[in-house]
Amino acid sequence: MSSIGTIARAEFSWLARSRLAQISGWLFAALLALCVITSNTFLAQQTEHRQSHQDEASEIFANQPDRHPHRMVHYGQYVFRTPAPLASIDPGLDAYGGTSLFLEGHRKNAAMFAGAGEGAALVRLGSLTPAFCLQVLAPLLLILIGHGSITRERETGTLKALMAQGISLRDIAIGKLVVLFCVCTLCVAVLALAAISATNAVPNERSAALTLVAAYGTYLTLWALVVITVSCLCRQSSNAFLTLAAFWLLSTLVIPRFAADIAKTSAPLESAFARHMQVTAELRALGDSHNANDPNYQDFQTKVLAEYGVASPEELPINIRGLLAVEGERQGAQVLKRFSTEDQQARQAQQQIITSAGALSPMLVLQTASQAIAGTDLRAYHRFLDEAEAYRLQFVQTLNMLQATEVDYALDRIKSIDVQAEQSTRVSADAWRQLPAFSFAPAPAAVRIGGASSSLLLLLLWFGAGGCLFLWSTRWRPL
Amino acid sequence: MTTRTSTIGWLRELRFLLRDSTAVIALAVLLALCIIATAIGITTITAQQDDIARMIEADRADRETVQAPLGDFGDAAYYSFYVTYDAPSPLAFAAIGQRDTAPYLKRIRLLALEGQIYNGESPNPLLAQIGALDLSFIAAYVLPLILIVLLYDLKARERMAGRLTLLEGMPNARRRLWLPRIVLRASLAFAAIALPFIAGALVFSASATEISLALAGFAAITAFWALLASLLALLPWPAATIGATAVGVWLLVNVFVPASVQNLIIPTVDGPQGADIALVQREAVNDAWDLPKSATLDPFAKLFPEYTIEEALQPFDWRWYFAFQHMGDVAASELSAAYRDSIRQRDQVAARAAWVSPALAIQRHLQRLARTDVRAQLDYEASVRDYHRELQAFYLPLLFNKVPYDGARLADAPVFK
Repeated sequence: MSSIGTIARAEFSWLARSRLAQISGWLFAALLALCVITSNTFLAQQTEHRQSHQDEASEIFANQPDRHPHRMVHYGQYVFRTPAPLASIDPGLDAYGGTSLFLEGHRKNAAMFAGAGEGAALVRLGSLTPAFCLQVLAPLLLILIGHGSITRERETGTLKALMAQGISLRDIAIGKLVVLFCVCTLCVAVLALAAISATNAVPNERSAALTLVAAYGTYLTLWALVVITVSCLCRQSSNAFLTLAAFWLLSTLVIPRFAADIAKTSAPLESAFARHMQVTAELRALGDSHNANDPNYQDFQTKVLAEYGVASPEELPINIRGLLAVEGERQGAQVLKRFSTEDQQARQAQQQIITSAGALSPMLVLQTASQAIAGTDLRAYHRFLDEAEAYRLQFVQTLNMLQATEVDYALDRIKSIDVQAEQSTRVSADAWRQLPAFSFAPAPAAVRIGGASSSLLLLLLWFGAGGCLFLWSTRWRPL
Repeated sequence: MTTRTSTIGWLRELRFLLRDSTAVIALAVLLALCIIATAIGITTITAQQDDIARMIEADRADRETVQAPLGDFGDAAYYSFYVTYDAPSPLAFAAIGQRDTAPYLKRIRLLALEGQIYNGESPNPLLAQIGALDLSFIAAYVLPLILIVLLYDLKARERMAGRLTLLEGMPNARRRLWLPRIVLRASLAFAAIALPFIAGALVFSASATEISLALAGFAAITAFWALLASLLALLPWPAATIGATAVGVWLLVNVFVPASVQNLIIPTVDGPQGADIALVQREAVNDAWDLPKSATLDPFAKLFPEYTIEEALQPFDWRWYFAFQHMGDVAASELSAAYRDSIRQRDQVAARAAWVSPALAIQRHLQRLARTDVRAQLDYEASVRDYHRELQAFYLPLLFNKVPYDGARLADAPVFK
């Protein structure tokens, strides 16, 4: 045991003397600090912007004057996707999905204003966030300072001398590992601080923050194991460096992109344009529920008349145009639901392909887990779209029922050609104020952690494999 | 030195290279990645071209179906969507750029444009976030690392082999020994990226000028990193230290510099939020419903004196409807211009940052040639705005001059080009 400590101390003092280790260490520390601070500021700003826009939009809606309810259906509501608290650690898809959505009756609008389209995309390598720093750059730091830890001793002949004193290769390797582990711990400590400050105001997010920190700790320790293992297996520092740099290049930069391109070409998605055309065509086939004479709604009208036991819409105690709107919206929402389910499944199929490339790239495994836990992954984005759609249906149907119960049928029919009727079909503005406002929150932490369980398991498998490789490469063998 | 001896020198270097398994593997990896990237680029862009061609056709058929039962130009203007598209340039395969995140197809109609033009996002944000493996990515990030691998142990290797003192004793050692070695290795790396690129460019029949400008970019980035790696390699340091230092420089100029600019300077460029435009436009459009018609029609007639309405209108009239749609755009136009301005300014900042970051410089160079950069995205947006004006110029006379409805005239509507 004491020999491990001695080796570790010697390695620390070597690091303290190595200009390369110092420069790369400081460079990385500066980068990490920059990422943590700017990411935090940026997220706070984004949250404030989107929250205030949401408040403003809800307030404007509530303050609309007396109107015909169907006008309000098309006046519509703007909803905003407020970011998850842990998005300051890993913003994931935040900048790549639309941040706002305009909701109105019988229509599916695309989300607008994705952040990626607004700024100059300077860093196509990956946006500079704490997540990117630790997923991609921290392994490079470990390689830079650790690749020669065993080969250096071998090249200078000190390895033989140490082993001649009865210190096993494994003890030497563990001593070196301790040093890299300390570097990992420093990185993770910074992450932990950032995670704590990000979830300070939301105690429910604590478990997610902790899991996130643990996942990054596992990942970085895995890299430390790989670095020492390769250093053990190579004869020369330069070979160890090349091997590690190649593994780093492929696993963090090339394979994820390659996997994404494979997903794009082997499971292609239809363009938003094509989908829009298909949706509108299907909605059109349902008929026009604004038009009481539309043939597609004749059965429904007959049914309503029969239910009330009357012969004509004029005799109904209720405005059938409102009921038609409710029925039309119900059918339309089914079509929209079907399309959005298909779209989500198609995107998830692409994600499956990318995730399976995690067998070749531990970074991809951590990235998947990290985004899932932070609540910034594809699933979280879908959750926003689903909640927005549920909210849309709710407010539109409430307004349609208002048209059925509060607006007189005879006046409703002639409102576009009669000024008097147009005035009398308006409903009191109190109604808008009673509609609930939209607010978006990520899924509960436990659900997100559960969703990340398979990638966390795969990360542990990688870790186990790295550990076995380490033990194998440091087994006793004649020099 | 005669030509003959120099040819022998080159052949000797090539023989050495072939025996250096690390160099061979590095070059093979680079070539394989470039071929993969070119193949993916060609597939992606061909798919986009096909998609655009299919959608132009589908859009026409869809519009005809929609228009068939209509009996009013107002209905026609309201229900007819029109396709607009951003056709890929011949070099788009090499630098996918913004085509990854911004939609290259948009449908618009005669309603307020500010409510439509921002619609659309990448089909799968996950893919957009990961990014594409295109030649510009390889040239910016992978090629430099390969050059470092090829050159970092130039001198250290000879020292390890014990030949260094002997070799340096030769007359003109620098020129005869190191120069051919550096030039040969750098040229092969250049060829590994240039050849797949040329093949791809020929597939899309790019012009000779475009091809040579792109090749000049590849040559410049190769020369920069080859020079840097060789200068470091000639230092009397251990090979691993040289390699690690070179990677440190890579990290500094390719990651640290752009990151600092992105995170520190870009956020200081102020501009309106996109959401503000959407809200302002909607308020203007919706308020019009409750205002007296003259509140819309008077300012509208000032903008378009030819579209003046004399008679009293019913509660609903298509002319008034499209007039207030237009006034909604007018209300948001200042914000919208400022929004585009802020995007342009951020791009300017990036352009300046490219002076100190070769990775940024090569990507911007290729994206400009491929017309897949921020400017190209704004150009597409501008062409959609022009087209919307053309649609207005087509429909408004039909409505305001009360032309009797004739479905056949709808075929004369302008087509996006």
